[in-house]
Amino acid sequence: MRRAIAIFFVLAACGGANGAGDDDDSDAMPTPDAPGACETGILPFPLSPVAGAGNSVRLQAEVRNAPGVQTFQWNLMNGATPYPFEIGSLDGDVITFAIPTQITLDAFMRVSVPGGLFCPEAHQQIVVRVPNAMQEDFRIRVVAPAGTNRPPIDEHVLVTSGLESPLDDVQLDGGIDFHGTVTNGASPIPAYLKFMPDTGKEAVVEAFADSAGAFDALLRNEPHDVLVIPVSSTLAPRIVRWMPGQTQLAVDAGTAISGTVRDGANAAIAGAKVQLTVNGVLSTLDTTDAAGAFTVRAVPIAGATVVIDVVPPPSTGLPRLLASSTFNLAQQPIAVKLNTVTIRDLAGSVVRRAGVAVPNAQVSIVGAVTGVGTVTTAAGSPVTSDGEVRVTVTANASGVLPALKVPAKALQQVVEVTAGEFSTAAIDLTAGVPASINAPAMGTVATVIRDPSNTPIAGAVLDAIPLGALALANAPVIHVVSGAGGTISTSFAVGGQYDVRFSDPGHRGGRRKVPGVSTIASLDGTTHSLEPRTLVKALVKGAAPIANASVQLLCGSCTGLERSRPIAEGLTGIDGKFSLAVPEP
Amino acid sequence: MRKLAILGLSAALAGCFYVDPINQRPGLEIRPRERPGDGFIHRGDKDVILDAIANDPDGQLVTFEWLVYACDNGLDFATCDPDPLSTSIEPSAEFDVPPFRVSGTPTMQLLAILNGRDDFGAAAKPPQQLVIPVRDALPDVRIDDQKPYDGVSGTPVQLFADYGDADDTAENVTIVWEVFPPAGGTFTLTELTNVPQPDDLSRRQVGQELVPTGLGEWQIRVTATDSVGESSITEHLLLVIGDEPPCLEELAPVVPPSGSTLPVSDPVLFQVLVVRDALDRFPTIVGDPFLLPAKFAWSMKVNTGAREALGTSGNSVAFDPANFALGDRVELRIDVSDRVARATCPDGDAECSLTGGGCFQRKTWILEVR
Repeated sequence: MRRAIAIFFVLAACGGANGAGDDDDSDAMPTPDAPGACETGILPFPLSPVAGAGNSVRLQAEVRNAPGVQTFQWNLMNGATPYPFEIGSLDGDVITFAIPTQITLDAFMRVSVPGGLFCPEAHQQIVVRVPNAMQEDFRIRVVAPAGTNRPPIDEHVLVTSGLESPLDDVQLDGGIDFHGTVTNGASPIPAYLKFMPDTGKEAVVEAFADSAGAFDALLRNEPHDVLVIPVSSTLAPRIVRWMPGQTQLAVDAGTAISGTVRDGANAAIAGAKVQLTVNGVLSTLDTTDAAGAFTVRAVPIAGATVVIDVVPPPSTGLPRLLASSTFNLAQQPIAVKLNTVTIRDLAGSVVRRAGVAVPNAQVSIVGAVTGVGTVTTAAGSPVTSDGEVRVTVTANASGVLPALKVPAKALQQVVEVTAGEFSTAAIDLTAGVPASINAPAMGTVATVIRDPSNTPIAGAVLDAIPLGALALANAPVIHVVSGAGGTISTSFAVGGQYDVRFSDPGHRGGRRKVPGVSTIASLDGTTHSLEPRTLVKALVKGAAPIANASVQLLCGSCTGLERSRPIAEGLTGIDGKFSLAVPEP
Repeated sequence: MRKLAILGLSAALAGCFYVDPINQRPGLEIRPRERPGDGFIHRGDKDVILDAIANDPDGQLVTFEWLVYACDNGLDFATCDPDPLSTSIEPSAEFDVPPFRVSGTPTMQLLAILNGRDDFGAAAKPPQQLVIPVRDALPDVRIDDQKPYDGVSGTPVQLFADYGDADDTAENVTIVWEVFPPAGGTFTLTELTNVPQPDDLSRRQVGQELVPTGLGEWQIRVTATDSVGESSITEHLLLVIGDEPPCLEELAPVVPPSGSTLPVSDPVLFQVLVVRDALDRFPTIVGDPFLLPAKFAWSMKVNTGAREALGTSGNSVAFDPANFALGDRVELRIDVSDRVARATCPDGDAECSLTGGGCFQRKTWILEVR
């Protein structure tokens, strides 16, 4: 028995030497909490409040990812001035305030959360509108900076009267970087391309296909109409359809359209330039040969409006013909006949100012002419067409005009003595040619620009857009910036007519158009105040706010060049926001 | 009986000699990783790392267990927080130093405890302990600048110092600004008011408006001192440049590439939408004392005729193809300039860049009248 006991203890002792470890308690690893980011916001009710006695706004605090009892701190500001409000709930997450008048307020909300969790301050702008506010249709055109890969947009917006008219965020979607080719069968074709997206035809993207027919364009991910104008005159310009994923744009020779250009005596007119447009799409351009024959290429469309443009060579003195009708281009040849008209040659006439010859002056003779000629398709009736005269020559160092042949009509003369210095007057060539052409100096126009509160402002702009003869002679816009005291001093062409607008790049007022036509006499010595303004505000964004995007507000219903003239323009700031002043609707 | 006892003892002893060798305990050491700056650990310090150095005589792998406590006196565990601020089973312990203990008193020392076991479970005896003194937290400062005029010499630059102190209130921290210009540089420094404050309520922000005159690198230094006199120095480099030529950034319609022409059949408004420049921009900001609108000069050349100025200074010109003959080739050119007298572009160049880098002062549309 004792032996057994002895062995047991020894074994136990030996067993104890074999590395059985002590038991140590180990603390469990704490699992750290995984907090989410606290998010805050402010919800206004109603969303578009209207001013009025008894009207009010309710603001509701929004807090996410912040457990526990929260306390709220509100600030409501009218500029730098606190605006009164009342707490509208037991825990302070709601405030209310009265809105008897039109106003723009900034609401700020801070929330304190147990445990010290950080929550950002929330901000919401509240725009209180006048009752029965007027609205006006504008267009907004936004062009993102290069490298942002966002095609432009051009879309209609409604601006509401009042101090401010916030718009919905302007979203610029990412574009498709399109690499394609223009081909005629298997042959690559250099061409000009104008892509017009279905959802906004005026947000065009232009591109040029090189000699390999290859081009790049950043396009919206939607179907487009594409105007393709091949460089080659053997291929007809056309509108083609582009769908996302399509890599080729196909063109071909189109349809040959032939005809002749003759004068009133039925003599061929060689050297006349001829071009058609079919529903606004150009044909190729051709020059008549010795037989007065031409051939252009186009894509005819049954029932389309066709404009036939014929420019006789300057040596003939004949006016330009512009014929517009639903010509059936299948009925060829097309006969263009320019009516006989007496031609005057102003060669030798002298440009003078106060009796002194003016060297190197540029003289334009312009004007509309009725009954220029007729256009007749093979099986059609003659269509009488009107036209115009726009001819320009430069006098020599002695002020003497070279050959300048024009119809013996009552027209307009426009003289540019030096760059930007114009005069205009009527010139009646029915009886003969004047020996001299008078070019009086421009007349001074002094005016004052004020803001809507009638305070003179520096840095505002006068734009005088030439009308009538000046426009036909390609006279440029007079663009002048007001100085101290809002004063503007500029010069208008004697005899000239202008469409005058005052605007302010500083957005202190809305653009004012001077009603009617302005001349020196009607504008000199006047004072003009900018229109009451409405500030149009919005955020331009893609995946994030887009800084330095060009923003223009344009006329929504205008036509022609007026459609492209911005009413207001600017850039988005680093926060992607813009603020532009338009005349209050 | 005696023989039996001796026999049993001998048997027992003979049996111990024939088992596996005795496993030995690992040795441990705690080694703090070197800290930047003054090398000490401060309240509020981030990413403090302690490395475990293990030595097992038997060559076995050693597993670790770390416990780190914030204390008043690391030698008296009763003055430490009841719960560790960090635990780990990694070879290194990494943690942030809390400025204050749970009691609210400043953290004066850290107590780091390291246990280790080998593969057979033999524990290092005794566990390693290291008491680490903790110094007052240094103010931490972040310097930022805003250059509304791209840092052009003679224009203001806003400097901002965003600062805090882990164991002190930001209000108790004083800020001293120093500016070190390049050779010959002069400047004015004016305190900014109404400086926006950080969202983090424990921090504050102050600002200065610097108007530097002189090109090159400017060194901005901020010394922040807390209520117990602990200071930190933060430096910031500012590059001041000369006024560069303006750049035609965005035009409409698109300018055709070399060799191509833009067919024009309807009246078109040719526009400069954006001119990029520090001081002479378009669109500009009216009323800004440093900004002026960029200057535009338009000219036109028809076929082989002479180039003629158009006499308008706005950012756009209207082009009516009806004023020309069908097929006419027209070069419509825009030149942009600023307030600085510079070399002009050669007349024959359709586009021109005085500085390179994609910044053009001239662009030319080649038009075909259609």
